[in-house]
Amino acid sequence: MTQQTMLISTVIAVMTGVLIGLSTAILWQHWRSRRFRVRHEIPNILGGWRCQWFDDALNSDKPKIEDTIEIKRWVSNGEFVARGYQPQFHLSYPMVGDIDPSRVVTLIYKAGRYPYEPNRGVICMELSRDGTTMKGRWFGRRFSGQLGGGKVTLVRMSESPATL
Amino acid sequence: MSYFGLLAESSADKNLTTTIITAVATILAALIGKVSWDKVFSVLRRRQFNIPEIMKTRWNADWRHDDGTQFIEDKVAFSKWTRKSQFEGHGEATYGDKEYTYPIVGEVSPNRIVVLTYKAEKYPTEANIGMAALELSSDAEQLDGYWVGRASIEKDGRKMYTLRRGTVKMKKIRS
Repeated sequence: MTQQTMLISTVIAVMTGVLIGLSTAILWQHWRSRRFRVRHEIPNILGGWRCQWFDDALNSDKPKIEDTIEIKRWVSNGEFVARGYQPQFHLSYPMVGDIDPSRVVTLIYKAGRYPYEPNRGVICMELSRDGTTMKGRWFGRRFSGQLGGGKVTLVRMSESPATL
Repeated sequence: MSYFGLLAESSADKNLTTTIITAVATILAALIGKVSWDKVFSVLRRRQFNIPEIMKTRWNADWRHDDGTQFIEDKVAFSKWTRKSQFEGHGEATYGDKEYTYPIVGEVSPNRIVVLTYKAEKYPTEANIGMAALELSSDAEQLDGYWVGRASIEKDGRKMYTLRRGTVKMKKIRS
């Protein structure tokens, strides 16, 4: 009985320790991210964005694809995780990104079923002063297999305030 | 020997066995913890998707603007795999008499598309960031693709920073 009690106490102590460790790590990352963004006056870009992808190869003013991107959470410093939703092809794809003090936003996207459908690329954009639009370029592998690129525009969907 | 003497001896044996088992378990746990699981999973993943070994290599890189003019010619080194097929490296560029080293992180996908993110040497105080998407040749000797990033441009005699883009070609340097 005493041994059982000791074992249970040890397991509870270990689990409490792990939970405290994890919570501290998460809070520390959040604090670092917030400090970085406040110091460099980086606006909060979390939320939904309407996205238009143009292709240089098509030579058209109309976007090749339109979808939405949700920037979900800050990870560390200016780094964040996001997810793209493509209703036309019923796709959802993960993204990781970074915003730097000069308001340049970089994103790396992967295909919905990466690595089995290896389709990936990069986006580099500038965030507008009011924090409501991002404009830049994408480069990556097309469905044809060739590397290509084009313009990309993101417009904030919700009216969430651009706080730090 | 009395009954209490036997009981004490048996209890001492049990304690010794428990101590030995605990010590062995601790050593095993320490050894297992010492193994870098990220490295193990990285090797397995690269084997699974037949991703060529391009670490500990140096490359001559020719970065050009989209109008064909040269942006910079520098050296790029890929140092080590970090996790899955992601890696770390650095670039070595010379501006005037000064040499700069800037960090690079990237990933090789199963279809040999390599994506890179580079940052200025003193990021974020000298914020300069950019990306490249490249295709690795079948012999893993050449990388061709595009770059986009924040770079300076001369306008009316003034230096301005904006997003610029162009092509990039890298060739492996044979040692």
